[in-house]
Amino acid sequence: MTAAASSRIVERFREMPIGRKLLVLMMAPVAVALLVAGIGIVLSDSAFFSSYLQRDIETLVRILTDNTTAALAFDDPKSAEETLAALRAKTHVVAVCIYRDAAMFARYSRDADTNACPASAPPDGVKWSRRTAVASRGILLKGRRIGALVLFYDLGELYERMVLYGATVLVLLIAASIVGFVLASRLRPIIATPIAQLVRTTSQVSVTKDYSIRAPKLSGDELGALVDTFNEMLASIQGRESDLSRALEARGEALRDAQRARDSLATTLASIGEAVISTDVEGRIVLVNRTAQILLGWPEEEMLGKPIGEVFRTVNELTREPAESPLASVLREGPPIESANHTVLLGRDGAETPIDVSAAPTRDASGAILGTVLVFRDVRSRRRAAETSRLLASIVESSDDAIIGHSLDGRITSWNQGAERIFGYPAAEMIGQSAAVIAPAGGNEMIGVLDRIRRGERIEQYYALRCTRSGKTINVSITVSPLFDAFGRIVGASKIARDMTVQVQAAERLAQLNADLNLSNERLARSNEDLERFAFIASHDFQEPLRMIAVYSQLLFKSHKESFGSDAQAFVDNIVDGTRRIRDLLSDLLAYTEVGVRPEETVHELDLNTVLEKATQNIRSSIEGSGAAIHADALPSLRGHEGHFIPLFQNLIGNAIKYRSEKPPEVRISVKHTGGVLRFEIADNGMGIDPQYHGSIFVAFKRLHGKQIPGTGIGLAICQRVVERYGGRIWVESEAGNGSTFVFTLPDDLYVEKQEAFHG
Amino acid sequence: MPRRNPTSGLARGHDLRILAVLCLLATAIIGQPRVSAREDSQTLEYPVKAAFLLNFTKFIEWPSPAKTAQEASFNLCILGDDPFGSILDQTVRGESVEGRRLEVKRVNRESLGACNIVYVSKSEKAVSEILKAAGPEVLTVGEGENFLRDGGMIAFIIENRRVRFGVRLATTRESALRFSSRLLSVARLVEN
Repeated sequence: MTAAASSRIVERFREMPIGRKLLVLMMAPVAVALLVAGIGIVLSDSAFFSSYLQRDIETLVRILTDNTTAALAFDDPKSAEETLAALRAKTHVVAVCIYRDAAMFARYSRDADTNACPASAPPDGVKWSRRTAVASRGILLKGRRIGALVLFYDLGELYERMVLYGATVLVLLIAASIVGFVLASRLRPIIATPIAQLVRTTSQVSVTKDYSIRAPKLSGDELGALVDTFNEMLASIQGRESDLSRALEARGEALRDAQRARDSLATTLASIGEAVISTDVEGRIVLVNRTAQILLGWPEEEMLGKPIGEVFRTVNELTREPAESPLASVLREGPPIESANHTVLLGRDGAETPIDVSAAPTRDASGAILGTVLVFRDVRSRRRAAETSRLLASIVESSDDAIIGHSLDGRITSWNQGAERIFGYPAAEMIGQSAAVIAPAGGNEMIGVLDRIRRGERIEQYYALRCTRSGKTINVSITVSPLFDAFGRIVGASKIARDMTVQVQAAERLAQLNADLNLSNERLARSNEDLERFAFIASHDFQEPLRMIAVYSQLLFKSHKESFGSDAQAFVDNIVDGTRRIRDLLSDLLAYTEVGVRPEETVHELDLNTVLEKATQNIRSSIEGSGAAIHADALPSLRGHEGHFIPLFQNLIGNAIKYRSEKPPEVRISVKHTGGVLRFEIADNGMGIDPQYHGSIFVAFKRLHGKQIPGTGIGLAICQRVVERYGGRIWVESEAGNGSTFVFTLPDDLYVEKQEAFHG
Repeated sequence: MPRRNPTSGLARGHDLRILAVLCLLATAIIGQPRVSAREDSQTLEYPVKAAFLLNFTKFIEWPSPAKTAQEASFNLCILGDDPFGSILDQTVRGESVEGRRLEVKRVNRESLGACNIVYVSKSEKAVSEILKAAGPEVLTVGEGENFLRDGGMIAFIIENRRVRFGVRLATTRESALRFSSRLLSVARLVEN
């Protein structure tokens, strides 16, 4: 055990209550004595027992050798084994072996099927090992050794006995400890209770301060004497305390009277707006009111008794010279004084407060000076008002607008520089004049306006004409508001007028331009409409003549085949091919114009999945021919016209297949509902489009590829027209060689909330 | 108290002989295969009996001899045909009983007086009469249980092809010899 640990135990023991200490003192020696005795008993017994055991084993061996001599002499192992069998009663004998010379003669084994016998007999004597004692002894016949006997003795007995003794001693130890503990617990209160009682009494006295409490005396020993002494002490304290409290009560009454008088004065001082400090003749503060505490920044209890110069510090605002304390001069000269302006009070935290100060001496009945009274006031708010009005005046003077004051009878009371600039009249000339001077010849609206001002209304910006001194008529924007006096009565009007001549002229010119623009727009729309109608009729009416050209040229060839040369078939094929191309072109053109010419088409609810179905059906041959794979999301339903959306999907999918790369074409159609639009994407793995052509591919008849890929150059123009017609946008995202993604958006107000599967 | 021979060389000789006999016995009992057991037991029978005869002297308390006989030898007499040949002589050579030298004598019915032990050979008839003549101080040893019924003290018996010996307690009680209980504990006790 380290020194620290043992000192900790001693420390803990010291902190224990006496009751527990007594218990420990009684129990510890008992436990230690019992433990030592128990260990001694177990150790000595095991020592005694082992020597006893040795003797026992030796005796047993001697008896056995005697009893088996005859059997050995007359070669009767059976008889020897019968003798040995009697050892069954000795359970600790593990085995006995009898040797005749080197050979085994007879043996006994406690556990029948084990053979503990060694091949030959060990030397005579007893050999002890941990678990077994081996005793060996020669068998003598008339002094001649005719064999040997070996006995194996199990020492388990020895250990069993030690364990049994140990357990017995432990049980006794515990039982003795319990009895000791019970006894000690019963006896402990004899000492512990009087002490605990005394402690309880002392703490009760200490907490309640009740000195009439007495500790009970429970014994006549030293503790009893201690209790007596303690009680005497309490009695003497009790006597002294009652004297003291009587004296305190008398003094408290006197103090309360004085306090009442002072309270009424303090209440008065606290409720006035001026700060008041009074001092005695020495200049020490005897009273400060609340306002003074706030202005000086000191709490009352810190100020009382201090020389006034410490807390009331003033400087001249302009010169920054410390001002002489007004009290000093009052005390010197006697009469009351009013301090000059520009006095600044320095607060405790350095804050500066401009103040007005007055001071006067206080006198007793005989006129002798008792002290001074200092009264001062914060003049910040008064100053701020003056500054505000100066600021307002300068704002008015520097304004570009004319700011004119009117009395209620229409006379001008103020005229700022802005008014001078705008109207040309100087202030001196206009003040006192009627406002009619600047009104145009037609009449003065100011009379009606003033009527409304009298009712307290504010007249927001209106436009009026005014005449300047030079006779020019100008446009002004006017705002009029009532002016109030300090009591909230309306005493006049403030009129703000702005010269608007330039703005009015600009607005007139803008209106003229707008009208012109509308006119030319209308003309343009009309001619556009005519053009589209023409294109529609033309493309529609051209179909029939073209078909006739194709049919009749084929008919001609068939009917007069023999009169034509060998080239004729090729020529006719070219004619038919040409007409087919024109027809394709015309039908695309027709579709393109159709998107525009019937703007008021009724719209239906349109399932885009069906639309896609129809579009792919239309170009089935090219899909199957190219082995294209088309994957589409579940598409939403929209309000729209089938005739617009079928060509849209048909052209985009058709393009994806037409401009494919070497790979088998794959088209993926997806849709997302995002940011107020439905965003469709038609992505392919085709040849892609160089970014420089991304803008131009949507222009009609614009084609990037020549004749090697057939096409009319109208497909994407139709797509653009359809998408823009529905208020959307279309563009392409692609790079040459990397596939293209055509993206178009449609406003989601077209979207019919129906298809559960679509979560855009 | 066993008396040691004064010359240790001789004593060692005796030890070796006994040892040889016992070794032979052990080999006869443990080492030999069963087929030839009968033959071996026959050839070994008399060496074993000779050893037993010697050993009997050590488990029996003999009455003190008369003063005159104290210096005389302790006589082991063979009555009738001698089946031992020289084996018995070799066996007892140098042995003594209670301080008296042990000697083998071949005797007839008339000269039994000096014998301490009489071995009655199978050849003898009318055994009971011989035994009566022998007196209570002479140990009589013979062959077969009938020898006991005729009044003999110890009889060799062949049991499971092994040499054992039987004792009739009534007879031993009547004799002047004191048989050790240890001897009796290995004997076959025969009643009538």
